Amino acid sequence: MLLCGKSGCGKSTVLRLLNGMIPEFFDGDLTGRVRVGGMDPTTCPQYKVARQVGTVFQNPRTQFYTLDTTSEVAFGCENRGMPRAEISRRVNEAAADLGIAALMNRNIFHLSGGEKQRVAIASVYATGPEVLLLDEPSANLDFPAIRELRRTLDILRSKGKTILIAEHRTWYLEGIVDRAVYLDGGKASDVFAMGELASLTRSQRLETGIRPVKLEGFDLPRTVAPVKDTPMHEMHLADLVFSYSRHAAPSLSVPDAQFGSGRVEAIVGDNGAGKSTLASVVCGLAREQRGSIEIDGAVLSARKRLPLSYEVMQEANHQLFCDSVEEEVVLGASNPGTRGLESVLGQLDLLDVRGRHPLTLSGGQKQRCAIAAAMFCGKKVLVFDEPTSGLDYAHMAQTATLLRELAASGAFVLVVTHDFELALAACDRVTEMKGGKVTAQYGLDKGGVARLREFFGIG
Amino acid sequence: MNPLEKLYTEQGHNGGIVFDPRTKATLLVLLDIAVFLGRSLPYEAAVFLVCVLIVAVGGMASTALRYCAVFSLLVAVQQLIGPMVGQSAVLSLVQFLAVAVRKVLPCLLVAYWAVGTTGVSEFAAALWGSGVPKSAIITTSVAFRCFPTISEEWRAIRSAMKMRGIGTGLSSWLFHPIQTIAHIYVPLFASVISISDELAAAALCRGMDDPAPHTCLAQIGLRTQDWLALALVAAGTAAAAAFAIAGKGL
Repeated sequence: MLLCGKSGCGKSTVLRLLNGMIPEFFDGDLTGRVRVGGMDPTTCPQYKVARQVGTVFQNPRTQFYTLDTTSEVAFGCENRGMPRAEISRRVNEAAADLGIAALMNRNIFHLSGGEKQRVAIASVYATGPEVLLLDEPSANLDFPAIRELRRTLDILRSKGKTILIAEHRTWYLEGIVDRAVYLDGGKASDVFAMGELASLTRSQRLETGIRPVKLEGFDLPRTVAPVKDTPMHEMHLADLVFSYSRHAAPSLSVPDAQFGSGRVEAIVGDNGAGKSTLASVVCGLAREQRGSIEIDGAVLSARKRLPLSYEVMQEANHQLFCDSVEEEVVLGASNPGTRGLESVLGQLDLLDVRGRHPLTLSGGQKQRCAIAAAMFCGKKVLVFDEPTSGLDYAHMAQTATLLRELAASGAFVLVVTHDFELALAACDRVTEMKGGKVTAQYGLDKGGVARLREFFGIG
Repeated sequence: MNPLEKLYTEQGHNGGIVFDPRTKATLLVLLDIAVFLGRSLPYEAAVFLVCVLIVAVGGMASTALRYCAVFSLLVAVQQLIGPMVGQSAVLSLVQFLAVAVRKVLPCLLVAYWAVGTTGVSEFAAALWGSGVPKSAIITTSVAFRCFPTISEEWRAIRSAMKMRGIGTGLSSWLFHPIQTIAHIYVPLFASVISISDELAAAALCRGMDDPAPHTCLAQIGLRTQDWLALALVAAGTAAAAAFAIAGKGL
């Protein structure tokens, strides 16, 4: 069963009701009844619910309680006081059933996002719950990892488990999900069969926030054709080499690559392909060991690049420092002018919340606040790290528009992304990365789209 | 890898003898007391050697050796500048620092070992075993788990500060200390609070509060080696205490 709907429509609330986190962890007013496996999770003690209902949370960073994979999978069994022999039998069984034997006994900090997700599912599976709840399991995953997730879900389904998934992305769930419940403003307003979801039109998707089921036939919902003319400014990467430690093989080695201003440049590749490293080096956060980065022919060292660039991180909390949105935007600017402030706040739709504390804003507003700060400081190079992970269709489209506007203002806009829909909606050019190397750069015309589709392995 | 992450993830016992987490905690307390029962250098060195021995046997031999080197260095520094201390304020300061660091070195070593060789689930299971209240267990083990995450957050926040041109360097600490602290703490607190909340929620959803006796995949329990180490260290500490009370300081 799929739970879908816009961000903030109540998907997570439904999951929290089912796993007993409401009222255990969140306060609120509740009327009516919930029944799961013959229990009422709202009145039953949390540990009894935990025996029946397993939950896989959205953020792989914070759902691991232990620091190595084996004890993580064992954790639920340990809590129930199973004998050691039984625990080790179940851990082995979970590893074998879900095909993650190779991941056992590893440090969780050394796992990729997709591997973490599979271990998280295994650790819930090991305790043998009948009901599994997953909150946006694909939000942080690349394409191969999402396909892996699909296989894992298929195994769980074949074991006869009840699975409830709250999710925006739907393309990987075809053939796994039987029914989709559409939530709107906290109400279950519609129930679709998976086939019906596939036939939604673009305007229906914008209205419902549901992402396309089939990426094969996904149309280009963009308003502007990809920019092809020569850019105003050009960034040139030559013989760039970077490694995190002197002894390790370079994490990044780019003999030759270009980026143009006024365009939205997508950087794609699997987890660990070096996308984030490239972003850090371009921003001057990491200093290259060899090679150079030039803008319009002038070599800029990492120290000179840093004041020009800004990376909008996935975790917006990390880059908000002040008490109000206004202070936040002005912070770090050399000569703040009121007129500029007004226009930046207006452009990013932050005028209404200018006096609020940034940490009380919604996720999207926080992200816009961080972008506003970058624009106000006159940054020339803007790098986005997965700006649309976990966003519904409408918000994704909104981000796409914003990226286009930023590019139109003449900045370098680099977007690290796994989001095929975003790439089609907003980007002009694609940079493919693999094993720390830039393997190709091409424009997103018709041929380019076909190439990107092939790179992601879609249709 | 940064030291904090290493500290909390390296749970391998490297073929050393495995002690129960409770034993480690008790040893830490006993040795802390022992350090402050005597004042002479030979006594201090003896306590330090006991710590080194325990840590080496417990599977962190190379760490123990490194601490030995630091200890010898500090003793050497003190001996060298000891005769000249009256001559300058700087030398007295160095002397004071050398002695102060040396005093806490044994505790530091044992604490490092105790944390470094204990997994979160072992730690939690040991707490369950000793009848600590449920809420205290959940809170302490969430805190235990939070440290490596904080170090990850810290790196990200520093990057963000650099991009905004907010200094974390020496000059900003000197000239705008309060502002610098605020700029670090606002994002750090925001993320630590949400992380610990999410961790606790995840733990509860997996039955952390189950009243049934908790078990542990890693073997815990007081075995011969635990009793032996506890008895020896307790006896030694008691003897030192007896001397101290009798007025014959060691």
